[in-house]
Amino acid sequence: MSSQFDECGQRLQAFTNLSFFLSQCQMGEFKVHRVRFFDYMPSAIRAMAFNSHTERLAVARADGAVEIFHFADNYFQEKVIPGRDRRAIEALCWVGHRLFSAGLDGEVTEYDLENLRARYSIEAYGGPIWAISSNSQGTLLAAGCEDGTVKMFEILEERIQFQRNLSRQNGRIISLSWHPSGALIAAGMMDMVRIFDTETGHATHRLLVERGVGASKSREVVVWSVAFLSDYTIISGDSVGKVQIWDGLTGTLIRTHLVTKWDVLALSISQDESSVIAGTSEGTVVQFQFISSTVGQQDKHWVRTRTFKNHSHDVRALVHTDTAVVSGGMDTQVVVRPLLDKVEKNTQESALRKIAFPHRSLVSCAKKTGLLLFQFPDHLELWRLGESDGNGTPGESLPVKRKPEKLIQLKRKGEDHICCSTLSPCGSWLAYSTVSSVRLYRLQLSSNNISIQKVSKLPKELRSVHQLCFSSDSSRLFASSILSSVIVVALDQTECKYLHTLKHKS
Amino acid sequence: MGKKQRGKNASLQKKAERKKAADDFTLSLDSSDEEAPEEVTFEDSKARAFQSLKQALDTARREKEQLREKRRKRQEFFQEQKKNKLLPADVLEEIDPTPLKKQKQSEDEAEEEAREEDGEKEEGHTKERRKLPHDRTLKGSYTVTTVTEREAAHYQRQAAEDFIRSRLYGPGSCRSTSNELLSLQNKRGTNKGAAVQFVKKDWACKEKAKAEKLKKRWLHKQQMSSS
Repeated sequence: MSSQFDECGQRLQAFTNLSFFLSQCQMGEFKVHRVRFFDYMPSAIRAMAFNSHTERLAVARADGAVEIFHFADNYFQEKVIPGRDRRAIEALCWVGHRLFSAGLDGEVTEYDLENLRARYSIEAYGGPIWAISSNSQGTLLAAGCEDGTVKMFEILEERIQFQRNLSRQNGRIISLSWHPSGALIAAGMMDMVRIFDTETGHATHRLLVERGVGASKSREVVVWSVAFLSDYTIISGDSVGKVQIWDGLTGTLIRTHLVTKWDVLALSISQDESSVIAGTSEGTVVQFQFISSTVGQQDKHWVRTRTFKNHSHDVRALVHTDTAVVSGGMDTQVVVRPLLDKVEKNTQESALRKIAFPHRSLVSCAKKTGLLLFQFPDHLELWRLGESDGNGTPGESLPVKRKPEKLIQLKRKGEDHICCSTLSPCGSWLAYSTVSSVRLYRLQLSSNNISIQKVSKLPKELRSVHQLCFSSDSSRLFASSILSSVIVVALDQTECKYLHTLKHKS
Repeated sequence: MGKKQRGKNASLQKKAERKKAADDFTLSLDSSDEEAPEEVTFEDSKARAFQSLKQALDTARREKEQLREKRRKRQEFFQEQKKNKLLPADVLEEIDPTPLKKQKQSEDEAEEEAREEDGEKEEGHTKERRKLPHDRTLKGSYTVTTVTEREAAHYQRQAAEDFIRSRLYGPGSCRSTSNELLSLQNKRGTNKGAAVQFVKKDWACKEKAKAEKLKKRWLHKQQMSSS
C-alpha cells in the first residue's frame, strides 16, 4: 500500500536514490550510467512467523506476498510467493512444515512451498480474519474473526476442515494465543481479553483492560496482541501503550508496564518463556525478562530490560528466536538483532542485520540496445538509457545529449502479481510470468518508434515459471518450472516452439 | 270444448284457449267445475317435449359460448398485459431477429448452395461459415460479465480496513507527513535549508499548482485595481 507509506511517513531516501552502474565497453574505456529513475517502492511487513525446526522465517507483506528467509543460510531470501490484488494477509502460522495465512478476505490459505503458490484457500465465513494460531500439538488451527467467533479447524493430511466455533462474543477477535497444553485460548478483543476453554467452547474469564486517560478514555482499547505462558500467565499489549501481566487462572492483573504513549502492536515470547518482546508504533522494541531483582533470590518478576530502536516506523511483526530479536514493520526492513547475552560479542553472529533490498534482481538489461526493464508488482517499465557523446577524463561526469526515456509501460493482466521478468540481450524479446501464466512479447525498436506485439500460443509446457532467462543470442528462452526442471523454448521471428525439458538427475 | 283439429296450430290455439280457459277458470270457478279435463294429443306433447329439449340444448350451447367468450377475453387481456411488460418491439427485434433471420437464411442457403457448387469446383476448402439458428449477434457493443455477489463480504472487509486505518492513522495517532518531518530536519539541522517542498522539485505538486493559480489571480486583481 504505497498510499499508506505516503500518509504515514518518510519516503525512504535510500530507495529513491537506488543507483545501478552499467558499463559500455569501448576499447578499455567505460562509460558508466547512473540510473536514478527506478521508483521501486517496497511493501510494508505485516506479519512474521518463525519455524525453529527448519530455521526459516516467513514474512507476509502488505501486498500479499510471502517471503521465506533461511536463517541458517546467511539469512538468504529463499522463496518469494508473489501477492495478489485482493489478498491482505493479517496473520501467518507454521504448522510443522506447512505454512498457513489468513487475512481480511476471510479465507485461510495454505501455501505450496515447492511450487511457490497458494495450495488452496478455504472460506471461514466469519468475516475478515484477524489472527490464526495453532496448538502446540499441531492438530487444531484457531482463527479469530471479525464477527466475534473463534473458529477451530482440524488440521488434516492434505487440507484443513472446519470443526466448530467457540462461543461467540460481542466484539471482534484481534489476537489469539493458545496455552501450551491446548486446553485454553486467550483472545484479545476490544477493551478486554477473554479466556476460552477449548473443550467446552465457553469463555471462562474476562480480563478488562483499562482505557487511556483524557481524550482516549472515550475510545475503546484494542488488545493488539496476547501471549499465554505455561504457568498460566497472560501478557497483553494494547493500543494505549501498556504491556500488562495477568494471572490466567484467577483472571487478575499482576502488573502493568506503560511502554509508550501509542500502540503496542506486537508481542513475542521466547522458547523458554523467560523473555518477552513488545513492538510499538514508535518503532521501538522493548524487552521484558522474567528475573529476580537480586541475584540468587527466588521471587521473579517481569522486568523491563532492553529497548531497541531499529525502525523508523511502526513495528507490526515480531519473532523472538533463541538468540535474536527479529522485527519488521512499516519501514519494510527485516531487522535481526542478536541478543548479546546469547551470542559471542564482536563476531559476525552478533552483528545487527537489516534486510532491506530484494534478493532477486528486478532490473533486466539489454546490453546491445541500451534498454532497461524494471519489474514492479503490477506493471513493467521499459526505458532507454540516455546518451552522451562527450569525451572526458576518467572520473568526470559527461554531458547528457539525450535523456533516458520511458518507452513502454506494460500493465499485467489478471490479479496475480508479476513473479519474474526478463529482456533479451538484443532487446527484441520481453517475457514475464505470474503464478498463473507466462507472457512473451516481441519488441521492434527503430530510431524514434517502438512497437510491441504479444506472442500468442505459447507452448503449454510453460506453466508455473519462477525464473526466466534468454540465451545470449536471443534464440532460446529458458524457464524454470516445477520439479526442478528447466524448459527450453526456441524463438523464431514471431513464434516460439517448445524444444525440450532439462530435468534434475535424481 | 270439443275435439279440435290436430296440428300445431291447434295446440297453439289450444294453449291460448287453455289460458283463456284458465283465466275463466279462476274467474268463474264454479262454472267449469264439472267439466272434463282437457284432452292432450300425443303430437302436442311430443312437440312440447321436443321444444323443451331444444330449449335446454340452446341454453347449454349459449352458456358454453358465453364461457368461451369469457375465457377468450381473459386470454386476450393477459396477452395485452404481457405485451405491455415487454420492451418495445424494435428493441426486441434488435436482440432477437430470428424470425427475420430464418427467412434470410433460407434465401442465403439457396444462394450458398449455388455458390458452393461453383466454389467447390475451384477450391477444395472454401469455408462459408453458416450462422446456426441459435447464434445471436447483438448489434452495438454489449458485454456480458458475471455479477460478483460478495456485497456483504465486501462491506465487512471495508469496515475492517476502515477500523485499522482509523486506529493507525486516524485522529489521536499523532502522525505527521514526510514533508513536515523532513522540513523540520532541514530547518533544525546544521546546514539550515528551506522546507522540503521547495528543495525537491517534484514534491507537493498540487500545492504548488494551487499557489501558482492564486498568484496569477492576485496579480490580475492588482492590475485591475491599479488600472
